[in-house]
Amino acid sequence: MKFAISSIEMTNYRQYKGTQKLRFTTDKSKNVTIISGRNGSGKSNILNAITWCLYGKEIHKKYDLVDADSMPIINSSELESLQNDERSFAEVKIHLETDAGDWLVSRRTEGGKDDSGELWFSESKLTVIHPVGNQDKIDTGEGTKRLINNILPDALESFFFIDGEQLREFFRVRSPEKVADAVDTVSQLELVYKASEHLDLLEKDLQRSIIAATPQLEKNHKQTEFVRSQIAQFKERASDIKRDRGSDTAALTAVNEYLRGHNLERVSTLQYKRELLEKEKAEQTQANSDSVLLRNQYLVKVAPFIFLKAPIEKTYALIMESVDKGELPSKIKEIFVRELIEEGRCICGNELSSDSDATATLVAFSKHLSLSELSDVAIVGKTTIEEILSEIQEFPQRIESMSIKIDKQESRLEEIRRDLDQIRDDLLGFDLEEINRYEARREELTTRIAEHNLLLAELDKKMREAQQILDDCRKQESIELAKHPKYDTLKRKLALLREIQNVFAKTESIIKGRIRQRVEQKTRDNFLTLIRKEGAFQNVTISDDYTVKVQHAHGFNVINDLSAGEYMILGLAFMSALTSISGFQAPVIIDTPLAKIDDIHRDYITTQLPHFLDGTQLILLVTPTEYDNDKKVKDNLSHYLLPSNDYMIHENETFTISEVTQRGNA
Amino acid sequence: MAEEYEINALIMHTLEEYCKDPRAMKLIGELLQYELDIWNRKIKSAEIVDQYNVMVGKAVRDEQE
Repeated sequence: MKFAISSIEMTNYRQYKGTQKLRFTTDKSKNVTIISGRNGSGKSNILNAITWCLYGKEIHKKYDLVDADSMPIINSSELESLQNDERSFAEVKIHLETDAGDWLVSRRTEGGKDDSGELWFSESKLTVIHPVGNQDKIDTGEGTKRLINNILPDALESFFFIDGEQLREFFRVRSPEKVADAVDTVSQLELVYKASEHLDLLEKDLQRSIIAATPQLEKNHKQTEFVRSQIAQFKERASDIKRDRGSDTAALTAVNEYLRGHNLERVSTLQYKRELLEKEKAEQTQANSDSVLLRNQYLVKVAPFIFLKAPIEKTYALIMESVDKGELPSKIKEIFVRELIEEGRCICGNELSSDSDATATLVAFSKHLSLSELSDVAIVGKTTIEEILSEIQEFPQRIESMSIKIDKQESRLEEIRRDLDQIRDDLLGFDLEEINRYEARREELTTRIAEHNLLLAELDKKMREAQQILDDCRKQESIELAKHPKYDTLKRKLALLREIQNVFAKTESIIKGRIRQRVEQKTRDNFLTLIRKEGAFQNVTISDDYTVKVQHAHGFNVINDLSAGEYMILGLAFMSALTSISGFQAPVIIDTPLAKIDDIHRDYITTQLPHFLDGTQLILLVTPTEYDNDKKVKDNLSHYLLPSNDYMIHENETFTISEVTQRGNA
Repeated sequence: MAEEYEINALIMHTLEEYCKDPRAMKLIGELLQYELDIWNRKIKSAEIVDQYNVMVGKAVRDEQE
């Protein structure tokens, strides 16, 4: 379902005392709305009002009104003015224009002072009025969230309602986990996950009904339950470790950035060199691991031949001896000879009477047929033995070349390690407290990330082993059930649901991979459309492990070297890719989209973005520096802006109450 | 959940590609449709499992007939 916001009404919501109503004219070609206000005037709280109303959460706030120490949702001046035992409320109403008619979504919370003057607050309540048939239906309570989720799921909300600062940081402090999470969220595999979860429950139910059927089934069931709980624990643990690894990786990136951007040029040069070496180290380690694996696989294949070299050579000599003597008869197909005898006619057309010499010859041939078939085996065997002998002869040279390659890789890795140690010593040699502190932190994070990787590899191994036991249990159960015809239907049910589970398990990563490729393609297209330096960038890639790379025109990966504006554009390109792939058509609201961006990129973003979003409602919450003081930006956006969609936020003298008015109506 | 969008087509297409048994694929379609119907509705887990049992049972019966 497609929707746009036609108005927002805030009553006593945070710094908006009384009722403030913003009406937006929705127009496909004039799709921009501007709300301009100084920092702290309440711009972000308009974005918060929207997410609070729809989802009961605020983008910038960690705590809801239940936290006694945090600023309450109900306007503080309003609360201040209350007498003991008086109450008030905060409410946000949003009118939506959907392709199924108009909706009104509202959320209200109450609060006040008790008889001793202590503040109290109630939980907020969501109400949705939406058309059903020819009538409006009113739904209230948190169960109503499902209606909101149908037009834009909670999980996807952050791709549409965007904090500009967070968007700039998204790729600056890059974390493949964050990218993977976003792709995972947009993949909408929830239906598959839920179906899988319910099939699991059904499997357990069905198994429970036959526990007591035989002692073997009971034993089997106990083991299945145990292994299942183990797998669930492993998965949970792996998810925790991946989360920790993600935050450690982000922290390590921040440390690296600090050192790379250090004002002592020698420090930043050393750090830059270190990052190049670490990249090479990762590549060499992978290449070395591949080479060792290849050598081991080769050894496993060729070792039996080497071990049996003497008998193989002897066998080959025997075969060749027979070939030389002409002892191996020519290949004659049994069926062909028999057919000739049965039909009584030779291929030359002559009759084959039962007493003729020709028939006698063919009968004699047919008696040798078993030997003839053996000749097939012998010929295949001869060829195979020749291949094996060739492998044996090539072995010393191949194994030597493989070992030389591995030795070279290992010695390069050793060199890199030494160079990295030297860089660390050089950095510590500056004897600057901050650098020492950052180096210690770096060491700690690097060690922790390596530990996380090790634990994840161990867990992966354990999970595969447990899955194998589970599969064996299922096979055993099927054998046991087959002994009892009365369980035939149940056995079939279990087989069918497990087959579906297998399809789900097999396709999950494939589906995600395909979605990742689409996100990559759209991000690349969007980035190359939005970026100012035409021709400076070649490509944007998202690899299998969700590492994002921006390829410079000369082939270098410049993900660490983008300007603030370029990071913003990459973030916008990625979010736009996610929103379009998600299939949901909802307004895009960006808080401070142009802060910290140079004027050339501001010009480019404001020229391209509204057009780029193809008529989607775009609400920009901007500071005067971003918008009012930048003539170029104003001119660019004026093409997409109706006067009725141009708002300003004004604060009172004490900066405690804000008011939003249409520009020119202040 | 977005209905009739490109991403859903991609999911269904991939499932079809990897599910060689038409009977299982038909059931997958029914299960996912059911999940879409009950999306974000508060339905007791036992009720859902009962419905699954009915759907799986029907698929098995259809196969036997």
